Amino acid sequence: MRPSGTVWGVAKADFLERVRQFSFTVFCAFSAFFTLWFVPRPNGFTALAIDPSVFRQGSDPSWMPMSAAMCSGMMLCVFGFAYLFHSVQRDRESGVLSLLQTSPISRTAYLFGKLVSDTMLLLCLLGVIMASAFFTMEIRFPGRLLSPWDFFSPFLSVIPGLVFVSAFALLMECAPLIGRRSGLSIALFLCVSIVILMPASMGRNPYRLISVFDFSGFLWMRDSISAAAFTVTGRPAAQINILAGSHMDSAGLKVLAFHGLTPTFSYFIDKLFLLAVSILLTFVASCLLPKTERTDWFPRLSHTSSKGKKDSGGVVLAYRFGLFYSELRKMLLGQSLTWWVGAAGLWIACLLSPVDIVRSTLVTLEFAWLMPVFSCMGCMEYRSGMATLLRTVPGAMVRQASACWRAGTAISLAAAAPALLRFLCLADGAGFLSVLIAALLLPSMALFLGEWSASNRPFEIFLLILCILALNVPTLFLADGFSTASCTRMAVAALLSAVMLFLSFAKRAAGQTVRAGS
Amino acid sequence: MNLEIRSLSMNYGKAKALSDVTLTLKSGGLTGLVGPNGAGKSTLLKILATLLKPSRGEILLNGKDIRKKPDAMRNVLGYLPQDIPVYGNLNAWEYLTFLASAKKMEPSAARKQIGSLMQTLHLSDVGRKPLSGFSGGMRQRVGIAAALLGDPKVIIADEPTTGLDPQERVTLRSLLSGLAASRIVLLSTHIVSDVEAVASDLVVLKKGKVLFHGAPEELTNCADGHVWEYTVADFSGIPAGSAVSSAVQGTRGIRVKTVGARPVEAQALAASPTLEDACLYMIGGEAL
Repeated sequence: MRPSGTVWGVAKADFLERVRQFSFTVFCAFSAFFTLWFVPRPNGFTALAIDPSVFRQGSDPSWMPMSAAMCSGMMLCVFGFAYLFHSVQRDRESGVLSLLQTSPISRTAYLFGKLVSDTMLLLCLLGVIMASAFFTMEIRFPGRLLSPWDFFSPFLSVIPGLVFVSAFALLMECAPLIGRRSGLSIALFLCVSIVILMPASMGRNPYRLISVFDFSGFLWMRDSISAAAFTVTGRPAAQINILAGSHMDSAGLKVLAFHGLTPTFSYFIDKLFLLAVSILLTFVASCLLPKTERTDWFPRLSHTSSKGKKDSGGVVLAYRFGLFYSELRKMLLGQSLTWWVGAAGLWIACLLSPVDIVRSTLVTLEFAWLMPVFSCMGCMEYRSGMATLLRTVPGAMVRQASACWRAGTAISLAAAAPALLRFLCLADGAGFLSVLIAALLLPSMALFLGEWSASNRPFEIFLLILCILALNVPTLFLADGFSTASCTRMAVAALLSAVMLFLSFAKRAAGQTVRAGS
Repeated sequence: MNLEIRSLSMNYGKAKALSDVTLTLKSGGLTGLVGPNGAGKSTLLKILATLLKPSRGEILLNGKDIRKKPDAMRNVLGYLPQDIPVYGNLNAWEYLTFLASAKKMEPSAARKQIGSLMQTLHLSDVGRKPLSGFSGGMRQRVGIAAALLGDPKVIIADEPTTGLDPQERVTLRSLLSGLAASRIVLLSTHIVSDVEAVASDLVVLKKGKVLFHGAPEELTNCADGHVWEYTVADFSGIPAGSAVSSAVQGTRGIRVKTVGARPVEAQALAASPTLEDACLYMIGGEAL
């Protein structure tokens, strides 16, 4: 069989396996919902805001594909990474990788199969977004169809980025010393990089390197938007914001229409270069993927020492604090050194940075950094099979969930401690209370989503979304004063936290009861 | 086919999993690999399946060292692990097609063989259902079909009968026995009855060392005069520390069989050893 046949065989099986998972359907629904919900509108929170004081927002059907492409470029590249990550690890855990290692398939063919499959998955999601954008266009502007180029071209600039993200996720999985958890932290880093790079790259002539690695396709779309704005006002667009609020009165504002992407040779070359880099990354990943099973046992922080002293200490402490201590240990000691270094850095930064930066960025980053700690909450017992064992012990399911939540809350509060201290010193009651509520909300949400989905993925995706929203609109979670809106938000968050906790415990309690056979 | 294992050793850190294992396996008969838990059976099979690299030693397949050229083995290998790894959302046909492409089979040949294997292994009726809904026995049959794809010349099965019901166990071992006529088939198990009926060659491992390699009858002969049988009223009558190979409740009490150089009971009589007794005797009374 030709190598392409082998690659396609792997890609097809992997794609079918994942596309039939419930999580994929949820992702599709989620993508459609976001496209429909954040449709460009004259006022309110919208997907794309362009010079709100000059142009009437969402004034033309061409806004729909452009805004959908811009959002999907950012969202798919960030969440796509989180969604695709773990694809090799899953084969390793299920034993499929071992089975493949006994066959003549090369590592390169295997990983290229994965690359094709991952890219196809993201393309499917992009397809859903395109379809949603089309329906939105039909609803908002019935009968005003765009030319195929005007509609499809914004999405074309996103596609090379999807290949790049797939390749990068594979590289992160295969790279030694970067474990699964650290890889997730890198996903966060990517997310933050995009958020920070976007305003930085708003300059007319960004560094060539930024342009080449603009895998979300933002720069090309921005230039195309600016070109359209130039035809109306005689100057390029000054302000292009994704997922932002627009509160201008639309009376007297100009209508802006786009004509797809402006064909630009340099951007075309950039995209080709990005594709070449993706192929290179996959090659590198295939070199890093171990040929055989690892025989060396790397000691992890979570392993107790073989020396008696430390072991007996652990036993005594475990006895003293029971499940809570065990859960705390499980959450913290499984983390990589990279994570600890990052956590310490953020903690110190929260303590020493100007309070505005703490409020606008650092608190969000601090919570985002806790993702690997929280992502196992509620679902680990199902994935490891421990739930079966816990069901046989009276009340153990609920007790374990309770201990898990308490441990998560303790970690969350410890992480938020510098911010809480700063707000307390400044007598900023609203800031203090909102951080406190957020610190309680996150473990509750992690437990709830983990418990009900039996997977870590929904929480990871949800947290990423929350973090992006919080970085764009800090007041969404961190109140800057006691107002009706901020108090309502805090009350809703606290109530949501309590409801999620209750539902998690309820499901655990229901899981403990013996069901009658049908 | 000729598989030679020379002075094979495997260390996990300071722990020795295999120590100076030397064996020669030839096609035309099933080889049973028995030993207690932790004997090194799985490590040996993983090394032969090119999943692990040994610390020392050589493995020659028809003269080619598979340590240096693992593809020499991979091109002719059918590996059947204890737990069949599957993509739960694929059906049997899709799963086998995927593995056929991994084995670089031509699409037409793959389709033909998958169809025939599914018929032989009674999977045709359930071939379009997702594997996640398959029972242990059905999954095992899919695993066997996967191992047989590409007509392998070496089949390695790691405790494949675990979790199967008696009928499925009999079917599986008969199938492997039939395949062994023209191939090297290595079957690892700690259930001696699995290999008793079908193995023409037996390897006994303990703590990473080969204690015995030869025909099952030779092993049985080794235990001649070292198997004792006696009856006790209840289990408390069995002397502590004796290596009990079987204890069957009868009308006159419990019929106990022990292995050892001397009888542990004054009334014990010498009994003819079974393969299980002989294996127990060989590994020094440690449970398999």
